[in-house]
Amino acid sequence: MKRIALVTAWLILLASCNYIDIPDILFSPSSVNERFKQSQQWNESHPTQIITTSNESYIIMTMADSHVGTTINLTHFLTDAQNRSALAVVINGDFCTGHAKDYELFDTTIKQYTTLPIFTTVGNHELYFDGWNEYFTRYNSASYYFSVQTPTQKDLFICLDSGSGTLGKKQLAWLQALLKNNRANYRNCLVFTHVNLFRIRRTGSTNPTIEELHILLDLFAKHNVNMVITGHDHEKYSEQLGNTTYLSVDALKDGLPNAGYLLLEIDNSIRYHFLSIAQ
Amino acid sequence: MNVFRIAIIHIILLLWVTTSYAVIIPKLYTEVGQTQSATSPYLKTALISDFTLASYTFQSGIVSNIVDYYPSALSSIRLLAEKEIRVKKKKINISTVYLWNKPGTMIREHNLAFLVGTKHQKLAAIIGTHFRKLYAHNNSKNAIFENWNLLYDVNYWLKATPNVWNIGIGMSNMDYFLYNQETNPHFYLSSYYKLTNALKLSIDGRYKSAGALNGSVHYYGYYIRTGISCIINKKKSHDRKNLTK
Repeated sequence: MKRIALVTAWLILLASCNYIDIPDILFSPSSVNERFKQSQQWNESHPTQIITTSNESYIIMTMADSHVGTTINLTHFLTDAQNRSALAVVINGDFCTGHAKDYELFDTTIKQYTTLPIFTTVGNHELYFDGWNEYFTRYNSASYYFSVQTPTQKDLFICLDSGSGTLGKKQLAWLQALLKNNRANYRNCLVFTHVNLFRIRRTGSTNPTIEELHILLDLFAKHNVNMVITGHDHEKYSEQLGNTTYLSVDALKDGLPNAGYLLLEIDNSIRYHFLSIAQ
Repeated sequence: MNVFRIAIIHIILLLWVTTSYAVIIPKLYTEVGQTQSATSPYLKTALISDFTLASYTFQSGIVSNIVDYYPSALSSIRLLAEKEIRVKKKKINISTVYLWNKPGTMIREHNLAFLVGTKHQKLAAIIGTHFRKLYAHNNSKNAIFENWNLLYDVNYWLKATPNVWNIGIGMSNMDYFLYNQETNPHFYLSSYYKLTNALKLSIDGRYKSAGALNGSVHYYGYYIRTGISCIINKKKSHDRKNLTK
């Protein structure tokens, strides 16, 4: 009872602070299948991005849950990525609150890093306050893939929209076809999506249903996906299931004592490092 | 895990109790549903058998996925042991459930749940905890464990049970062959009609949500399940035989 009362009080407080949109946490304002359709329409008229590098080894950096607002940690992360000559950055959902002004602030911040290829995907917070339209207008697609071409190898990076707690049937069918038809052409395959897949610790954060999780795990195992990277839970974990590594990153939100992000060193193997803002 | 060994245990258990004093309630159901994880509706069928002896109930169940992401003749096995106790005249059921799932070509799942349930005329509630192990069958060393998941099931019946017919609503994060994380509730409508004292028809429908509260929550799926169950009271027939001797 105490826990229910605390959660209720917490929700009322967040809603009164304009941090979450109560109707939207109960029912998604946009259909994941409709969002995927819009993403695909954009993908079809734009070529898949291929990043080329002259090195066999390279760095990709990723973060989630900056919840802009404010941009102190986001700026720290992007500056660090630029200083380390990261080949690309993946922003794995919940980068803002969903309010148009926060989208604008986030957009202004990332546009200062003109040499850094930045890829985004959508989290639940981007969808609040009718945020999907803002997302789509600015970033065009939430379900897509890009690749990195080294002198001898190609690696595949897949970004998925799990902002509504499910990939939806259209996106899942697309993912199945993508892995079946293309996985063999790439050395490494990494998947980025916002919602954490497992409930490793006691947490109130939403996971996909166990039925969807079963299918995703089977798909990732069958197609030898190397790594699946998520956020949403605000606390990092690293787990291994079969040959696939499952990571979740700390939230990057300003003011959190554990705020952090992830650095990936990629060549014939993938090494990951959780980096803390406090360090 | 040798699946056939479990299936054989199920059959032996069934044979054993048919020659014993137990009350046996076999239930056969068929489920048709649709989820966000499938482009077409799925179809599965299950056989669940309850064997009740005094205050103990043993249950075993198996599922066949006929049309699904991964069709399989034997996709799940469920074993339950339950003890009914009385606390201040109130019946309380304490149970332990083991559940094995084969949801795909690569992934296997073990579940262990501990549940406490009670009924009060129109209201029934179950609460418990659950441990999950997920692993790839070709590399079981690297497994993922989810411990201490909260399980719940609350339902409210229109008529005080038992009745010839009934209809109820409820919310749960578990089913016979599925334990969801606590933030993934199902909302359901249950109904039954007793054709005779021994034969019962049931129809259930469930709405599944892809999360709760801190997501931008989407509809996940639904199913409709029709079932038939019968009560075979071996104890009564055994007692009759003894009286005539």
